[in-house]
Amino acid sequence: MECGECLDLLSAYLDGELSDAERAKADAHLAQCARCRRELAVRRATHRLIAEHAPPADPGAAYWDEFVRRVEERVRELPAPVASGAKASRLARLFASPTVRFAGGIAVAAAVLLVALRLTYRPSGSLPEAAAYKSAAEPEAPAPQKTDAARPETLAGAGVASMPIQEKAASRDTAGETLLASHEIALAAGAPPQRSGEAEEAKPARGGMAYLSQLHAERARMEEKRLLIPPEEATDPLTRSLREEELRLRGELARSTDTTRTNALNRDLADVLYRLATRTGDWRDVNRALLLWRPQYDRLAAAFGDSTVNARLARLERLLLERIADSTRAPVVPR
Amino acid sequence: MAAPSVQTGIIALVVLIPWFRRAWEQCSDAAIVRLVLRGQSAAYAVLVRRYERRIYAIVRRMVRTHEDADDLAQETFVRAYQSLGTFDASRKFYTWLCRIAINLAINFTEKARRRATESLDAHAESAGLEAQESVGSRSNPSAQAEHDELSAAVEKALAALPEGMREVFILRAFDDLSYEEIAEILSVPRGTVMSRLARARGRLQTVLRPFVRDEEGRAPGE
Repeated sequence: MECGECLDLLSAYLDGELSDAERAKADAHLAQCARCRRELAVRRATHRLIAEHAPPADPGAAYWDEFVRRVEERVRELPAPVASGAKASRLARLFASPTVRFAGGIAVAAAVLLVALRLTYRPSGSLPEAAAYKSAAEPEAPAPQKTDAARPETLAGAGVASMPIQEKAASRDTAGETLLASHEIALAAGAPPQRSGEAEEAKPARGGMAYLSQLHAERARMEEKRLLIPPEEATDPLTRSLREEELRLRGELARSTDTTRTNALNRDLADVLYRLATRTGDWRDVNRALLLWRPQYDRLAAAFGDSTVNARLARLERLLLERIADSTRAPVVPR
Repeated sequence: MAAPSVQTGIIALVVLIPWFRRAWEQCSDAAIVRLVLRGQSAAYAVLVRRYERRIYAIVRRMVRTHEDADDLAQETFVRAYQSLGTFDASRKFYTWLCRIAINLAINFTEKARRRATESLDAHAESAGLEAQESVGSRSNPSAQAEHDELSAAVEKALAALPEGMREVFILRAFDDLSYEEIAEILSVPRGTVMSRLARARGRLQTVLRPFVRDEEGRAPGE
């Protein structure tokens, strides 16, 4: 062992923290090196000096009795500690503060207000899912823009809105040929077709949350009924089996109360609808697929991956554009 | 009937409270922590008594006055009580408590340094120089004066240690903790403890060399 190495180890040597092998090496070197022995002696002496002259650490017995009492006094004023982990105890302490409670109250009120506004806001009385496609049928009423940046460009954009098909589409009153007439969807079965201005009147009155939820659920059901194609209409066996599968899944969804099960059923339904849409190319199939894929983007992306969902949405929207383009070339069916 | 019941209750309390205290004192740290978390807040005093001296001794070596050390030691136990729910029972209570004390002391000294004037900073930085200069001023001193002078020099030398080295040295020199325990308290590797300790000792030796005497009272090298 060299002197430098020995000096490096002297501190741990003094503390008895060297391994047996290191200690043996150091001992062997110290036995033959007077300089390192002197250095060790100086270090011991320095250590002794510090130990003897460090600030006093015992203020006396009376101090310690008083110390415990003061700590107990301070602790008594505190809430009892909770064993549920740092977050829980900190949260508990946080929410015990009157300021935080007040701020929390304001935040809850604001959240309720926002939810209420979101539920009551319906552009031109159409259903939320149909609103994205509304511009195709009603150019005078601007369609709401989806803000999710992760989603591909959708039909809600100006490109579709500017397409010259609206009059033709609106003029067709047969359900099978009308392209996404939102006023029809919104007012559902049996209701006479309305213009966009009249559709405004169909907006639900701003009332209780339960009323609004019920109204929207009812509208969604009516829309599904309106767009659903019976399995027997399908000509090929695969399409028929897909339609049957769709009906089965919808039935199970209606009965499902478990969130996990509902999510799984929604995933399956989305997949079936996509396959139906791409197989038949029927605008109703494409529309129904889009109506499920777009609002469920996040959940489906979690299941299928963002790229898959984006690709499928893009394909569905492309299909819908093609159907719209076809309709512009088709002769207008007179009333 | 009521009077005997009250008397019995008081006697039971008088007998039971010391009995409980004695029983608690036999308990391990983890058991006491569990008791406190179950609502037996009074059991916390056992932990305070068990570690008050060690905690005070550590923070006293990190700050300049008894008053500051007293405040910090108290605050350590109060903070520990508040965070008792987060204590991991698989670890040593003392190392956890010690970490709280060290962090509080470091924060305190940092704030004190920021508040301090330049002259105070210079005072701390030139501790070694002052210690060397004071050698000449202690010709023919009384024993007490010499002791006071040495104490002041040691205190200054400790205060002048950089953060990181100082707490490692204090934990080792005054609390006799192993390198592993120090490493756990400061969340650093054992090798870091070893190297910081060696460097701290080197600095202290340089600063305090004029005062160092061997067992026979001679200065090194004489």
